[in-house]
Amino acid sequence: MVQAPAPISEVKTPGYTTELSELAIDLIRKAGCEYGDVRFCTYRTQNLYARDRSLSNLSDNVNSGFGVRVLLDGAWGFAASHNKTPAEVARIVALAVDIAKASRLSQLTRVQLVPVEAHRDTYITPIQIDPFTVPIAEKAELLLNVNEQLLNYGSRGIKKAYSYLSFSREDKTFASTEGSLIHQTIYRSYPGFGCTAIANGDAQNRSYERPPLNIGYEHIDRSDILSQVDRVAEEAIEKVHAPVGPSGIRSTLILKPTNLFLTIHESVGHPTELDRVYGYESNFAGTSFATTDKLGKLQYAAPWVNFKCDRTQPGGRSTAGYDDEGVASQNWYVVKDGILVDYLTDRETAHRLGRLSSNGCAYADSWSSVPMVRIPNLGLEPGQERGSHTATLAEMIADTEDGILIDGIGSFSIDQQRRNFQFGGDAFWKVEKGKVVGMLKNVTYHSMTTDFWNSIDAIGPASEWMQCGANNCGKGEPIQIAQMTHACVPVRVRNIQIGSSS
Amino acid sequence: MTLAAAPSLISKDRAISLLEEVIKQSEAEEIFVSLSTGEESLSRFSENQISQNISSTQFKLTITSYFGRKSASSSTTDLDSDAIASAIKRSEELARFAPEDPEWVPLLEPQVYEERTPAFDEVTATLSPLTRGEIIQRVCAISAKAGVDGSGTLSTETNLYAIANSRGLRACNQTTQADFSFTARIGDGSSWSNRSAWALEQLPIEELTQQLIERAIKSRQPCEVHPGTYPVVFDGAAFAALLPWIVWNLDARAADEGRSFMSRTDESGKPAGNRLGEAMFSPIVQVQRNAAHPLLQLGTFFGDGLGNDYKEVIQDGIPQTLSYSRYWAAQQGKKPTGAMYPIVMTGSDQSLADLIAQTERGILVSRAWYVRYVNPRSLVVTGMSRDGTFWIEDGQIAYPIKNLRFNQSLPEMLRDVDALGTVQRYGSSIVPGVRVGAFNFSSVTDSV
Repeated sequence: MVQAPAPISEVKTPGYTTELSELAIDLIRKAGCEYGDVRFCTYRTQNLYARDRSLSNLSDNVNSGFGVRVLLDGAWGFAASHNKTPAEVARIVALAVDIAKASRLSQLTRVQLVPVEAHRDTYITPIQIDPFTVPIAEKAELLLNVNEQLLNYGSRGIKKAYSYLSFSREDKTFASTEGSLIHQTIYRSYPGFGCTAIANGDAQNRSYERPPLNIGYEHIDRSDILSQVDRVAEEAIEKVHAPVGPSGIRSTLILKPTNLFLTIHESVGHPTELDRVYGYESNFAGTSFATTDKLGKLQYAAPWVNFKCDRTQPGGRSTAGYDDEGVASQNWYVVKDGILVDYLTDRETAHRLGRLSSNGCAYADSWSSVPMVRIPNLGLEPGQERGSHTATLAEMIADTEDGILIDGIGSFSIDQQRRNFQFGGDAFWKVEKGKVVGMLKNVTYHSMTTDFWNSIDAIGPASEWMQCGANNCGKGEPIQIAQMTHACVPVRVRNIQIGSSS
Repeated sequence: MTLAAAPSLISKDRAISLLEEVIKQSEAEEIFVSLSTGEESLSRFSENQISQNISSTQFKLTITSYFGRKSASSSTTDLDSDAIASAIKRSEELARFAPEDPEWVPLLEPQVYEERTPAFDEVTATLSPLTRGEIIQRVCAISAKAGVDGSGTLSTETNLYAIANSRGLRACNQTTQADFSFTARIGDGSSWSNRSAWALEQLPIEELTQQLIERAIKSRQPCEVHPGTYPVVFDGAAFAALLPWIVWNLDARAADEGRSFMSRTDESGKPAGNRLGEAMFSPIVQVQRNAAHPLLQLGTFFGDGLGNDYKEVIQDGIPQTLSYSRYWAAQQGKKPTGAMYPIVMTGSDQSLADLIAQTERGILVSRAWYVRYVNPRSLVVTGMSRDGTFWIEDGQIAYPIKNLRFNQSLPEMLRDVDALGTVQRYGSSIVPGVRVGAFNFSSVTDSV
């Protein structure tokens, strides 16, 4: 089916970006702006998607350009172009300045930024295998093999199969009027597959992924992927024949990291974005219940729960040397011993909060996008060794009289201030008298953010820590897509609403 | 103010000739090329002042090379000849070593599209940052005067999209779009709406701002109602967040394979075709695909080259067509249709106030937020109301209520539509305000 390996032409990173960056910075200074920065970015993305026996998407795309951001009299202007020439740099700087002058018309409060150290540095994601050097035939063969193996279960109900591989390399040069000149190269890899079983007038999906991470092709562990296929197919078949889960009751939940990461994302990550807290997102993504008057006071979670941000975490999807304002990567707690203790900031919101520095959460998804506060790697710390609320997944199950175990993500929705949420999952099992007794389908759980996190009575140990995460977080107008890891452990949560209450 | 020089956007003729140059350079057996270029500007404001103000010039060339049943794509945002040559080479290298596609279909021959020119407004295409800033300055001033926190966006966009292939297909559209959205917040009150048009001057910016400020003020001090099933009047902006879920799920293949709410099942529970032609929805529901609608006047073709021509999608509550890809159409002996958008739902000459006046008791939903699948097979979704939810009593808005989560089967929602209001354009959809006889709310939130 697949021929000889294909060498793919190397896409070269432009070497002229430093000169053009310096030109832009010089022009920004001459225009009289109090601050300015420029980002030259080249993104190479390779995507393979197989549906049944067809490789329905095979693409290798290059997207490059630059964006200029200026602050003039406390008002922002931003302009961007795909056309990387000195003349276009001059036009875009002038346009950004004109836009800042237009912003100034309605400016009530001057934007101010916390200081940042000037860095002249280079950062490259440590990888073992460059995904773009691996033959395309090898990648295609893996996906079609996965799908073929899934479709072998056709007589038992597996009627659809899909699999995918996604790779990217982000080359970025950042320069600012404050003297920074930072080159970064970030690699990302992401494989997964799934299938649909059809029976009894129903259709149910089951999937498996190796989480999206900043890592090379070594993440595409062929033997691991192929070894999961039979299990996933069997579980899809069991799921489509399984009874519908309960609704309108309260129950104990045991959540695997593959499910919990999204709950962390929505109910801890988004509400602690300081731009949302201040109302910058009120027209679209919403605001936050975690307002600054609650800082240091709000019992966000049970006292044995800690959420920590870490943009230095190896492999994390938002791991980098610096953010898009040139702030060095760092780590910090947002919830410590259950109390809200910090936020996610950029230089502008950090200043509003009265901080002296930003914790480096400014990120733009493209050269044509403005950096804004994005969730970094934000994880749930494992339970303390021999801690009173620390338990392995097996111990949680053994210690549960009646509950539901959930793996993977499904439905998800949360209100605009990040309180009222409802989540589903990819697979559900009934737990009875300390044992897993069979699958369920169509389960959802509903809670309010602080109620939920204060109801955790068991947290997994460090040995069960997993780096799960999202590569499709939307925010902003125009919408930008960000990526981050939410490393976590299994948890048990008591007395949670299951399904609809009416 | 010195206005920076305008970007040098390429013309329709240049776009087509560029695509032809790419086809000439290709060494593949067949090639499909598309080009998108334009200028996008957006001003974003909150707390009655601009917080983000951007403009970007975009260009993207995408090449799909074919060798027999093998194909692959590459794209570049560089217009220079070296980058284009590199992109062509990359797509050919990938395609040569791609596996053969069992679902391969040959490239389209030249097509005949609807004879019309999509709307393009020069004023919108060349709007200066200063003019945009002045409009927002007026909106912010109105908000500040009323004592509310105003936030929102004003955007303009011009886009040229062209396609060509080695079989002689050629097509090019050039369009403009303008969009305004606004949120007013005051205490525990909030309101929101948006409008889209092909020309900036068609947007009722200051009038909408005033209306939304009044709604936000009325929405303060919301009461709590018990979750349950109630009649609901949806503002068009709210219904525009629900109706597309129905239309996105009109895929013929998913229906025929038993994966959709449009699937028919036999007595043993096995897939048995689709439900096309069944009276599934309220007889007053009429939905068309109509890119030529006066408020839209969008492009004449889809990205794969199929024509975006008029289609009856739901007539008198009965689905008239499903979306057939070229592959699935060939398998089923049908004509390929392309996707079922842009969505145009027929309304009436009744205002939203008229719908409320005809409602004995129920809930007015101004905005539907974070709508997501709960059960893709039955098309049950969840989501929240937001930015102005009100209790209706005796044909009038009685008082504001707290926001509610819903868990709702959307086919059942469309079955229970019993009144329609006037239509507006929201994004690329034309949707009326709608009254639904029964809608399921499952929980309440204090979030404003």
